[in-house]
Amino acid sequence: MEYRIKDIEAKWQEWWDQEEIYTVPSDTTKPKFYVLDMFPYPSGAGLHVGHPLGYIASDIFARFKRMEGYNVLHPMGFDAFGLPAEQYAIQTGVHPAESTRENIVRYRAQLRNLGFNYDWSREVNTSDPAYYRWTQWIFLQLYSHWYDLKSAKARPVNELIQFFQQHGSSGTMACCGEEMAFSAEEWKQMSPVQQDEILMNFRLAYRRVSFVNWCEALGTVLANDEVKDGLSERGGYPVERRPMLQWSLRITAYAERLLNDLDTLNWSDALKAMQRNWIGRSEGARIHFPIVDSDLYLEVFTTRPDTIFGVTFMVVAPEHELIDQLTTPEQRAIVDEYLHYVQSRSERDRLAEVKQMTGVFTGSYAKHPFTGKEIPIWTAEYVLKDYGSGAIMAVPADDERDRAFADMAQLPIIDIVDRTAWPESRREDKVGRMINSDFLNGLEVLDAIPVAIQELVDRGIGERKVNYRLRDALFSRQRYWGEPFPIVYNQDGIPMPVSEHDLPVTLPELDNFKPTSDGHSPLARARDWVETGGGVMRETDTMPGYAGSSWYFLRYMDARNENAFASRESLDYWQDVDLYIGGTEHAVGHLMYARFWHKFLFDLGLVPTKEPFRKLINQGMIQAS
Amino acid sequence: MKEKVEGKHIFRCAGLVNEEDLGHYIRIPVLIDYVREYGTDSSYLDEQSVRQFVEWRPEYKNAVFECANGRIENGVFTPAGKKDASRLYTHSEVGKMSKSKYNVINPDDVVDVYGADCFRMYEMFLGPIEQSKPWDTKGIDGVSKFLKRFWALFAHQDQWIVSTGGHPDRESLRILHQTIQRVRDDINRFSINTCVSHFMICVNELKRLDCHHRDILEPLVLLIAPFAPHIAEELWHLLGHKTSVHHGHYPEVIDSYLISDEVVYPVSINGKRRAEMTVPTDTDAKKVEELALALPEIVKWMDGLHVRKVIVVPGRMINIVAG
Repeated sequence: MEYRIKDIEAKWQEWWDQEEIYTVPSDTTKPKFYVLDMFPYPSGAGLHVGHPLGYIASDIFARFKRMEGYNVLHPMGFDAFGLPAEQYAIQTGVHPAESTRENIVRYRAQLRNLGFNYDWSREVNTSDPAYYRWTQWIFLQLYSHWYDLKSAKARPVNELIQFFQQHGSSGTMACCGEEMAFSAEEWKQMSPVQQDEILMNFRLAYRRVSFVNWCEALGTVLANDEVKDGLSERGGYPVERRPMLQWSLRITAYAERLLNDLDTLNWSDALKAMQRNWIGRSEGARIHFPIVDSDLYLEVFTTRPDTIFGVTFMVVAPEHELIDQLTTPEQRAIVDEYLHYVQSRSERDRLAEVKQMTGVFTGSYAKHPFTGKEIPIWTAEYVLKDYGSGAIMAVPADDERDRAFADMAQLPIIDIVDRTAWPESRREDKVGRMINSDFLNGLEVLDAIPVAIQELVDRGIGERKVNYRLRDALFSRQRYWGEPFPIVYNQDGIPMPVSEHDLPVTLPELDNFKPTSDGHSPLARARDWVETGGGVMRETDTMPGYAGSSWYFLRYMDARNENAFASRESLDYWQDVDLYIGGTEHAVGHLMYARFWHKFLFDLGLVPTKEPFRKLINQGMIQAS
Repeated sequence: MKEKVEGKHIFRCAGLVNEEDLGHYIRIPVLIDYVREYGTDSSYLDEQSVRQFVEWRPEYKNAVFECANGRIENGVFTPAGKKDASRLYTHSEVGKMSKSKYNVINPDDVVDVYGADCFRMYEMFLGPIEQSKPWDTKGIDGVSKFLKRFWALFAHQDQWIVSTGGHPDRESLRILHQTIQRVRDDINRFSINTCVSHFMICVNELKRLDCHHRDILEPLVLLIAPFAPHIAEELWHLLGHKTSVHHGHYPEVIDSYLISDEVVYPVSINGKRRAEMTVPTDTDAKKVEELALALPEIVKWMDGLHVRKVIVVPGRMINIVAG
């Protein structure tokens, strides 16, 4: 009776499989407990010793809960779309589906070898058409909904169209890209193309020209968190900013709820802080600066409207939509040259270099809304298009980067906060007494802010505004190995959803997985697939890596359902994830997107809880020594 | 390190590259399986590992490898001076394990040597789950021995030694229930590393008491099942069960067993520990003092000394102040 480890372990792994002891019964009389691991990307290298750290802990906990009498859901699956399989395909010609399948077989064997108690009958694979059919379905729901600020929830776009037909745009309180005003009559007169453009402004999944991180070497657009120091995280290739027509998700509509509901979660303070920081809520004012000799206005957002008397110049982002109109003929050549230079710069480069400020004068001036003084308008790379309004009022006396810029461009500086009583303080501390500031003189900074906002509102110069650092999420990738969009374009180029009954839209067979040289996805090569007849063409971009992982935790509840992403009964029983274990690398990306999708599905009445992950533990890393 | 000269890849040993020339080179990752003395300052590739490397990255099959003491071309080593084994020194990078650095340690290899139960408990034993920690296999033998000791409570060589007659002694029951309580508390706090230590302490204590009673060991099998599911299933079936241990009920603490009816006192003279004594828990301080002074070891150490004072901390310790 020796302890023969190998024989014993092999024997029981075999027996557990045979007896299906980990199959989760649909016994709904027992209380439920849902223990989830962040599912792995099945890479060619297989599992390393770091992976199982979280898996072992969750396995122990799941077994413990089962022995305590809970009906425990503890599933496993694979986040199977992704760049490595595609690059491997480009190098070797092996189809990504094939290498992914092989890798999954290996992963499953490795996981089995560790004796985990997964219910493999619920395995999900995000690259399986039976799974991504529902990813596409959820995308279509996002496409056909808008966010109503009055009821603080998503509502069908059809309701919005009816409203426009009766009332025009007046009275809508929607989360939208650009605010616009039109009457019911005007709406009815618009062409389908124009109407589509307006609706795009409201849809939760929408198309717009965005500046993207284009990586020439990888032939694709990368998300901000896939870019490190101006280089692609994978491969370390140079990344440049480029305008492209892309799909985006309006996650900003949910910013407030994503922020407030953090309080209801049993997550670590550090993790919550990372999410709060990413959302980056700030209260302040939107101020309109009239442009001299023009009927245009420059709109800025500031959290420090109290410093308005210290404004000595303004800066617009090089991508600002007014840049052309602001540039005077005398300055045209120098501005064009500068814009060309900025194109080669990644967002990170642009924000990183405080010491080496660059920028040029546009030739135009704005009028100070209080003093009437003329203020020069510059363009500089340190102002980004996507944050706030893409234009700033520069207060060099009270902002480090504005100061550095003023020094470089030799622009005047007006002191507006007397901090002599606070010798060690910085701008962020919001302390000191206002000087050189007209009606604000003598006030403490914190008291001056609301007074300044009120005065702006009273004089019709600006309004109170909450701003978020969180930006809408870019949702297009020029890759092969991802979910195809369930979208076709008619002869006018208007996007149209593929009928639910025709889902999934499956990937076409290809033997060349390289993106085209003009930046299109490899899907564009599959002409027969793209052209569906009658001049109707398919979208050739694919969805990003986080699409499939934004809802997979719901699929495990009812993984083989062919009529819905999960049945009502299974969703009502399993509710949400009681314990989620995974690495901090997903602290903002995956966890933010998954919460967003979950809240959207909650608005549609499709899931019973507001949040997907009740308790979350971040396991540490195992480092090589 | 690598540079390209006239279309030929040249790999240069880390020791031959000057800091200031680093810009001319790129670092090429190598699978750690090929590296000799990996992780040390003098990790290197020899002739054989260069051949393995070329097999793995065939694009470098015509490359020249310049070593500290000669060069390898087309798989053949030409020494520079006296005949010596080739050494291409490498740089070991310590840090996050990642695919692009090729320093992945495969858990299968660890499981192959120690088994899955041991690998599971060892990874947990490395520290709190939230903490990052280096992988080192130094402690894994300790966990492996622990599992063997656990097994040894049930079987000795060919002999099944679990006893069923009579009742287990109170001390064994106390140890069992204290372990149940600690493991339950810690598992609920996700403090899994400390659970592993509780099991180790428990097994050591039971071994000390020579306890092999079924009423103690059977709950212990249930208790350890989530952590070491294979050995638990085997022992569970050897105990005669037909269904899986993982469908069993997790043991509950019985509070009355937590109170020990005996207490072990360390006995010191002038703060130096000289003996140990076990007495019933309800023994009063006066009696404890008497018993301590009568211990043969204490009598021996006290030879020629005079008792000034005896301090008894009930349930904890005894110190004799002598001079």
